[in-house]
Order: sequence, then structure tokens, then C-alpha cells
Amino acid sequence: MKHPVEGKIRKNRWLTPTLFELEIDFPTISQPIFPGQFVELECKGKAPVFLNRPFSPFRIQNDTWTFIIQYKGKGTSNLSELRAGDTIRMLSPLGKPFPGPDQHRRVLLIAGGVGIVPLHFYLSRILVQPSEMTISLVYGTTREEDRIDLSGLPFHVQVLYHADQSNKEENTNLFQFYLQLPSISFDTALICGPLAMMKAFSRHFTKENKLHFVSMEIMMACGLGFCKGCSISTSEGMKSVCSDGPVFNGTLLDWNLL
Amino acid sequence: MNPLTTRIDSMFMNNPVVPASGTVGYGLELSEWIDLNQLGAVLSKSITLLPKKGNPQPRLFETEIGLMNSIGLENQGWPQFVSEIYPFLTSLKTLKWVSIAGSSVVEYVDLLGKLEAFPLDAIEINVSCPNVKKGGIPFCFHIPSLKELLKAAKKVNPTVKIIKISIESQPLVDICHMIEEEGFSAVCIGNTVRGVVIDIEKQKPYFSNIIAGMSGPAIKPIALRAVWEAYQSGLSIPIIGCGGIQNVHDIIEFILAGATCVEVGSANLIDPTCMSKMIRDLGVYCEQNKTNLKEMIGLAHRKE
Repeated sequence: MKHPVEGKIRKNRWLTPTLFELEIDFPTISQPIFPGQFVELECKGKAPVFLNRPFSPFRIQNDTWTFIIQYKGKGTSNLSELRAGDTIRMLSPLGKPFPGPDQHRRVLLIAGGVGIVPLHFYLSRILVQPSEMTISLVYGTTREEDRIDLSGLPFHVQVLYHADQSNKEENTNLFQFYLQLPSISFDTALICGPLAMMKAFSRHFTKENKLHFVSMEIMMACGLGFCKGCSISTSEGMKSVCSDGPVFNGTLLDWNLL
Repeated sequence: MNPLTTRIDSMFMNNPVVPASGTVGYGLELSEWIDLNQLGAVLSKSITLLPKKGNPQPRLFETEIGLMNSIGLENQGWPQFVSEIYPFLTSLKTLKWVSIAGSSVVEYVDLLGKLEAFPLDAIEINVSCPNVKKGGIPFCFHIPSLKELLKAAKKVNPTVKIIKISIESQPLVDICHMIEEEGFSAVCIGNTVRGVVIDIEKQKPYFSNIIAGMSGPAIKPIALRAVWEAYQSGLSIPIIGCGGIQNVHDIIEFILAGATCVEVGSANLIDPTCMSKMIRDLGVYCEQNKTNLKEMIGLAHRKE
């Protein structure tokens, strides 16, 4: 049976004016979390917040979980103010993971902004790169200084960076950049980023008949499959982003309604 | 003797803590976190005769002291109840309650009739649903519609039936007595409170249905007042208190105000193990105060 776990803040520091890195020690975790799954963090603090907030870990080493979080509203404001020694409650693991790396030989990862976080967690869990496996990452941020440092991965990943704020509203700059790249061969693509970006990629890959998975983000209340607050329309009926997802085969989503 | 025992009609409950319909799915989802058999009863999300897709996004809005939702009763209808929900409920040892919703009297009656073949401990009839025949006015806000529904529903299915009304139903006390006079076993007070959010960037309502339901600590004093008034009016059927319960303190307030048992809603969304803690803490309270549920129900009225 799952149970809420208590953690202690080890470190909290700003990486950029809008991103902070929160390290939490969770010594009593009994259930493993897989890339693509998420956790709900309690966000109590000065700002009045009622609900928990969903996050993917960036990396887990021993008992220390690292989150890279974008400062957005009251919940993340409270998290940004946590100090070493403070305690926090977490619900984990939640949702369905990405398909395992062993299932595909050539993987294309596409990350927009903080969408890099779950994809980095995916990469960090590939401990040994099989010789026949190739991984490419297309990673876009609005500005160069918003890029998260990806050094420290134990194997080679071809990373194609892009920074562009010319079309911030549409959030499809990364897709335009991708279209201009020399063709990348892949068996499956894993995508995480702003909705418009994922929509553009998913429509393109669906047309090209390419297997791809998106990690959806939508406001959740529970993150537990209880309330149906995060339901979206798919070709297989209504699905809860929190418990049926957040990872979905992009072809199944009803993008016109998103 | 278990000090937390309570009773609705012929149904004895081990404790008064029940999840509010729609806040723990059908129960299966919650079973990953707690042993459902420790609950006073398991209460499913509302089922409708036909599948309902629910409302478009956005469905949620967080306020400083609560949550607004506009889910629209998304569910897979009667076939899923038969194939998945009922088999799951029968695997449980605790009391099994099912919530039903409809958009017409006929739909409620149909559902109640179909449920006769599926033994349950209680059926909660959610009467906050829009009545299509009356232009979408919820049954609980239109006394003639509610009366018609109650008269039709009482004739079908001998199971213990609970009517769940809104704390905004007016006149609340008269409605509670009408439910009693029609022979129902209990009244649940209440449901979410209607509210509106405006998106100031788009300068239009945030929810597509405009009006959404407010839950959480903000509504607790209002729900408590409604329970207080219903009990004070001399209602003889049990009251189920529901609205903003976050901890055992809140439960004790509802019991002292006159509730026989309580439904816990939005608190489950934040801590799926909260009801276990509430049951444990209620036991501690009774032990420390050398009291029991039976003695506590409505006690605050006698000490006024």
C-alpha cells in the first residue's frame, strides 16, 4: 500500500531568475518511481495554497531527490522559500511512466522549457547505454540562460539546443527549428513541453506515422485519479491525465479539444 | 463496545466517516492508499444511466481556502457499474453505498429499478443535478420538481435511500422535513456551494458552465449551520453532514451540531490517507472524553 512520505529539505537554490533547484531527502521511500511518473508535493507556506502540486523529479541519487521547478504561482513561490531542514510531505509514485528505454533502439527526446525535467530523469535512469541504442535530444528554451545543465549523464546523447523568444505566445518555435534540422531517425519520440509545442509535434508525427508519447500537463486537484478534474478527450474516451497518463500515445489525443 | 458505532435506519456503521461521492473515484483508486474496510461506508462517484463525458476543461479552480470544480458528472454509465464498479464493491467487507444522478425523474427511477438486482447497503440520491424538463434548474432548487422526484423514487427499490441536497436549498428545513415525510432514511446536507470565477485577462467566465461548485474549508461554517438548523427543527431522520471537513475537529463539530455521520470530500484530494487518521483521532477523542457517537450527536444543542 502507498503512503505519504515525509522529506527534509537538503538544499534550495536559484539556477536562473525563474528556475530553482530543490533537493529533498526522503529516507523512507518504499516504492520506486519510473520516468514519466510524477509526485504531488505539499506546497504550504506564506502564500495561501489549498492543493498539492505535481512535479517530476529531475534526478534521484540514493535518498536525495532533485526537483527543478519553474517559479509560476503561489505553490511554487512557497516551495522556493523552503530552507534546509524544513520538512515536506510527498505522494509518490503517481501516474503511468514512459515506455522503458529497453523497448526502443533509437529514441528522440523533445523538451521545451521545464519539459526537460522528466526527460532528464528518463536519461538519468539509463545506466548503461547499449551499443545499438542512439538517443537524440532536441531541447528548446526561450533564452539560452534558461537552459538546464545536462552534464553528468553517463553516456553520449546528441543534444541539439535551440533558444528563441521570437514567438513566445505560440510556443512552436522548437517545432519550426526541428523541421529545419537534418532528418533524425528514431523508433519512438518522447515529448514534454508547452501544450502548443506538443500539439505541433504530435500532429506532425501522427501524419508521418511515427510512434510518439507526450507527457501532458493540465491543472490537477488530487493527482490520484479520484476527482476527474484533469480529464481530457482521447480516441479511447475520456482519460484522466493524472492516473491514465500523464504519458499518452500522442496519436490517441484529441488535440482539437486541448 | 465500539464508541464510534452509529446508525442510519436499519444500517449499523462501525464509524461515521464516509468519503463524499466523487472525491475518491469509485473507491478502487483510494484502495491503493488505505484499507477501505476501515471506513464507515464506501460511497461511489455518482453514476448515471448513460455515459457522460462531463464538462470541457477547465474543470478546476483553486481558491485560497478551497477548490471550485465543474466536472459535470463524468462517468461511464450503467454498463461500467455492472462490469467494474459493483464487482469491486462486493469485494469489500464494509458498507457499500452508491450515489446516483439523473437529468429527469424517469432516469432516477430507471436507475433505482436497475439497482434492485444489485444488493447495496444504501443508495444516495444526488438531487443537485439539473432537471432537463425544467430548463436545467437543479431538482434541489425547485420544490415541485424535487417533490415529484421524491414521490417517484420512494416507490422503487427497498434499499436504504439517502437524499443529498444542497446547503443552498431553500427553505432548507422544510425540504428536510419533506424528505422525512416521504419516507427516506436520511438526508445528506450538503453538496458544493455555487460560485463563479471570472478570467480577467479574457474578461469572461472561467468555467464554460459559468457556475461551478465550491468545496473545502471555506464552506464548512455554512454547512455546519445548515446541519444545525435541520437538527434543531426536530427532524427525526439522521443527518449526514458534508462540507469542508479537513480533520477530526471538523467532524466533531458536525456530530455535536446534529450529524449522525459525515462525508469527507476535498480533504481526500490532498491526503488520501486523511480518513484513516480522522477515524483514529475520533476514537482517541471519545476515549479521552469518555463519550461515544450516540451521546455526541446533537449534544451542542442541549448545552446551548
